Amino acid sequence: MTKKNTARWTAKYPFDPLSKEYLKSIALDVDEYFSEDLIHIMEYAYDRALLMKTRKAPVWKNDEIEAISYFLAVLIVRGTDNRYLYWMFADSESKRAYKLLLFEDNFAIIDLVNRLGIDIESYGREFGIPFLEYVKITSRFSSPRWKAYYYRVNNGYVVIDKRRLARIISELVKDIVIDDIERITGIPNKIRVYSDRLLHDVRDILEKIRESQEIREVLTTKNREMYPPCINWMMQNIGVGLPHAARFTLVTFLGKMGYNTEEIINLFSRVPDFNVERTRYQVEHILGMRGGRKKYSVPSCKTLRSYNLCFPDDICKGIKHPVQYISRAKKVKEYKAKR
Amino acid sequence: MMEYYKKYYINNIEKIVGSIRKIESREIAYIDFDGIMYRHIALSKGDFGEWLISQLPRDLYHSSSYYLFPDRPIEDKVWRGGDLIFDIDLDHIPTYTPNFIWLCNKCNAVFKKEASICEQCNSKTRKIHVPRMNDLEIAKKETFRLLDAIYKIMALPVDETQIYFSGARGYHVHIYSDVLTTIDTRTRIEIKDFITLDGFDIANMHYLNRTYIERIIGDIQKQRKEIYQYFNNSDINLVLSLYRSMNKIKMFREKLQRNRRLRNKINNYVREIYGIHIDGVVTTDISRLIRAPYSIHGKTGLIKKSVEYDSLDGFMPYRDAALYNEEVLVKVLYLPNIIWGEKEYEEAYDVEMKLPLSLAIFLVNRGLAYDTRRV
Repeated sequence: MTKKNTARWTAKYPFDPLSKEYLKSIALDVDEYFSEDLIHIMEYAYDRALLMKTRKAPVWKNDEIEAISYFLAVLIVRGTDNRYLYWMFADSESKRAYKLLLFEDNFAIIDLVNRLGIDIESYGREFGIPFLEYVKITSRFSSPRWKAYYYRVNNGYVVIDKRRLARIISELVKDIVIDDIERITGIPNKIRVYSDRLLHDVRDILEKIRESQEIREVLTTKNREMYPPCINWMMQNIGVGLPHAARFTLVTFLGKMGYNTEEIINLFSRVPDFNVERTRYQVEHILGMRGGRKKYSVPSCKTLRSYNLCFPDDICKGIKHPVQYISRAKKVKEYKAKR
Repeated sequence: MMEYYKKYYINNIEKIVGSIRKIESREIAYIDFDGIMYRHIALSKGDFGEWLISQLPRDLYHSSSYYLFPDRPIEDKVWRGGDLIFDIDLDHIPTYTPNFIWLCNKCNAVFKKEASICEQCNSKTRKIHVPRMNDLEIAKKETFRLLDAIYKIMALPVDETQIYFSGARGYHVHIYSDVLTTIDTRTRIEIKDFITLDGFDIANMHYLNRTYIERIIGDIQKQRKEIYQYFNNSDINLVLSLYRSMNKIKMFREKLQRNRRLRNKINNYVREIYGIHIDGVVTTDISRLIRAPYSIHGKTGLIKKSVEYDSLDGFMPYRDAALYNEEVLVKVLYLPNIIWGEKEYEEAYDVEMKLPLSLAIFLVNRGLAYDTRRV
């Protein structure tokens, strides 16, 4: 790569190991960015950090500033000591990278992914990514569309298109950015001024998160009409016999809905091989009253799909967890009542 | 019987210890001859042999995972990795139907059709599972499909792997490679789902892969018999006409989304016919126990024995995983037609006969024979 190209590449993808070398070669001492001539770079970096809130990228001035601003923004974010902001910053950087990657040619993308430690191959217009790497990364995605069986898998390579590969790379970018942030120790006080400003400017977001965590107290009800189809299916089939995973799900779900042990045991009394003592032991174990005292949580939609226990209806669209169904079902009901 | 276990374990300690990698980082567990289970045991390589002979387990297990503190309760063990294990078991293969007999508790009459009351003396009967001669070949075929997926399709970075006959009704594949032992549960679930096709929904198909719908069309054209078990004629016509409209994949998806009944039929067909039938929890649950290699299976008396890939095809569990072959006299209530060791045995009812010890144990553990010396 020519020097000019390297500058451009670094500006676009500062997380690339190749870019980091270039960054080191052009970076000045942090103090110097506080001089009158260069303070605008500091401000630019601040805007970049604030991207997590504004969602609007600052206007690209020149490649060098663009590149350096990543490094300075990382320092500002690190100075907040707020892990949630680390994550938000990593997320905005990853989205930025995703958009840029869509315009790169295939060879440049392949080189980049190889430098990130993944041996990727060209498959005509598509790309082949090693199966294990593919499932490691996509196991974090909640959409079922990423399951490996929806793709062609040849000799250990999953064949995907550019858009999907860019999404996968952007997921890797999140890890790299968080790692970049966490690896920094000792933040100069001058930087901390910016960090405090950032904390101040995003305080409404942090407040919202705090509130949503409090509201996240699940809506509980014993009205079965509000239960998701998977749970209703399990309830209907208790008498016929349920697979282990279904029994487990049902107990955790009913426990969450406020059923007590006796009520749950009563429901299970319709099981073909019912045994009161054994059922009590297992129910109490799952609800965390026995043994390791670990209270098991209700499995997610993704897990239930994996057990073939998912029978979605229209309300299920977009929800990730069976307990979310209730608040949504309530809204739908209210809406219908209004009409 | 305990004497025979003792003799076997004394002769095979080295083999067992040698097969359990990182033994000191594993939880060891066992069931004794009273049927009581003991867990959370930690042992060093050096202590294992003496311990084994003194405890004399009926069934011996180790954790699939390695821990910093294997003897602590599960929350405090500190996970350090775990073998990636696949378990093929006849019970999880939908094309397999188990074979039963009903045996009279009083007069020992045998019925091959359901009979809760003996037709000869009106006493109660008990239902007993009896293996057919070729049952285990079904499991073996499934194991080959699994190995093909591991080596050729997923091409997992496998350098250390071992195939075992499970000691009962299937095979285990243990993978010990470092890159695979450290993967988390989420990733294991993805691997499991890819193999079993769990959660597969044809309505999520997109332009990058039409394999499964094309395979169904192929099966329809070949008139594969399973097609008619899952689909009726109007289903088949609908699938064919949908396939013709496939150049617009979006339309295909939308049509299927509206026809939930056909969509479910297709999904079931894909999962059951194209999926590989493993017991998924064994692969995904990292806090599970697995039968120790070269230990005796308490219910069959057979050994969990390793099999090389090249000799898997010719492997015969009732010959190659059976223990002692001196003959003993037993009272046989029912002996199915079976090849045991090198010899084929004809069906036999209610008769005293000499059988190889391993076969005698196999039948006794199933309630199909008893030791005459005790009577």
